[in-house]
Amino acid sequence: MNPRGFSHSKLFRILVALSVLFGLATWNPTPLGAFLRGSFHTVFLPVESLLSTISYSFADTRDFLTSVGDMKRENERLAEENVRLSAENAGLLSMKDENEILRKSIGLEAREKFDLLAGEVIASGGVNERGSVVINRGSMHGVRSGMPAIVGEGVLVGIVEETYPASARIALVTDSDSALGGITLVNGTQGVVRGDRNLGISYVNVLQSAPLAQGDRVVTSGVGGTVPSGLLIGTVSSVRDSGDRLFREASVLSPVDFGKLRFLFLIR
Amino acid sequence: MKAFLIRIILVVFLALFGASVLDVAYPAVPVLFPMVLFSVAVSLSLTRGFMRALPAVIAIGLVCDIASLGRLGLLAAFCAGLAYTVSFLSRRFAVEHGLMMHLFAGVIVGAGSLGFLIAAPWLDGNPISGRTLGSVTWVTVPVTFGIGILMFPITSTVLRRIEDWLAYLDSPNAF
Repeated sequence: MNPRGFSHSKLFRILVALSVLFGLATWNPTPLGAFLRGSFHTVFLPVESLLSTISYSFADTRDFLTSVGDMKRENERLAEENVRLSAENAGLLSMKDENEILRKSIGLEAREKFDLLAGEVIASGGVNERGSVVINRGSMHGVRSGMPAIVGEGVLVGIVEETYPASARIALVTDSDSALGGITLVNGTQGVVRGDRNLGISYVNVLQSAPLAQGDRVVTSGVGGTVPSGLLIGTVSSVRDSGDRLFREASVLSPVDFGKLRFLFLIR
Repeated sequence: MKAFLIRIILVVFLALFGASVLDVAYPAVPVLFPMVLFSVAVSLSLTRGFMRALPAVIAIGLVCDIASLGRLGLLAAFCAGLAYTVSFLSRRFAVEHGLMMHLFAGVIVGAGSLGFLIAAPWLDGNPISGRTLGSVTWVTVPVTFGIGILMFPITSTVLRRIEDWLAYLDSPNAF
């Protein structure tokens, strides 16, 4: 091929273009890039603002519509779980009657009901402090540090960390700094319930020889005295060895959606 | 002249649409913006021919590079490369028209988008492991090709309509 012909060929032009453009991309001239980007985004700022506002509105609407679909699926899942729990509850009620009869026969008092104080979440920690919430009950309502906070019939969500006159901060069980004694329901395997990076719950310091499996339910052990025993923490979702392989640990899934926590009860 | 100005406005709008609409409304699908851009580049190369389309393709790529806050020249390089690839392969495989051309061009757009997903993080210094290949996972591959095959016919149809309109504006009969 004659050299003049090659310099006019497609191959030559694309090789030159790619060399220049990839060279530019690799070099990445910061002052030039900053100047061009700055100029572009300054000139077209009003258009960008308008377009991004429309986009956010669209994204919000889309997320809302998507969540409607999720709610339907969630509703179906909860309906199935409700049927299963109703059956389980029937069995437990029968066992409760039997338990009360046995307790009376050996001279034990019936288990006391909790004295509860209702509170409403008025603030959450946001992005940096997702392991805490603030409720609208404080020291003037009798709230003290260390009081356990529960939802429903006894699902532990956190411990009162700080009290103010009319409000209190509760460290959720997902808080990285939280730690309390736990025990599994069926096997009685003991361990420590800890918050996992403010996002989840871990069950740690479990002996290698102790039985621990996916699906085990973890409740409070009552060790330490501040938190009553038998409060549900959650269900074991996965089990693994600890980093040093001396213990086993598990991820625990709480039945509570901490992001949507609004009402809770403090155990006095 | 009028058509030229409209072309500039459309290029700027494409860049703004990518950066302020697609990247904002679909933050989980970062490949959408490059994919629309690559569809435009491939479509221009198929309709105008590579040699005539190259300056426009590079210009569009550079404007989008500026708008998308990425490395200057990377989108433009991918646009030029894809425009050449589709021009080179379409003649050899004789798929310059119809459904086969759309499928073929969609696959090229998908492949280019995957390449971009690998190249962009790599140029920023993120290591490429065999497991993830930058931001590409095994799920990303079929999804990207699927979106490319769906997106190309839409983009090329819109572009053809715009080109027809601009050709009319350029004609002496207009107005």
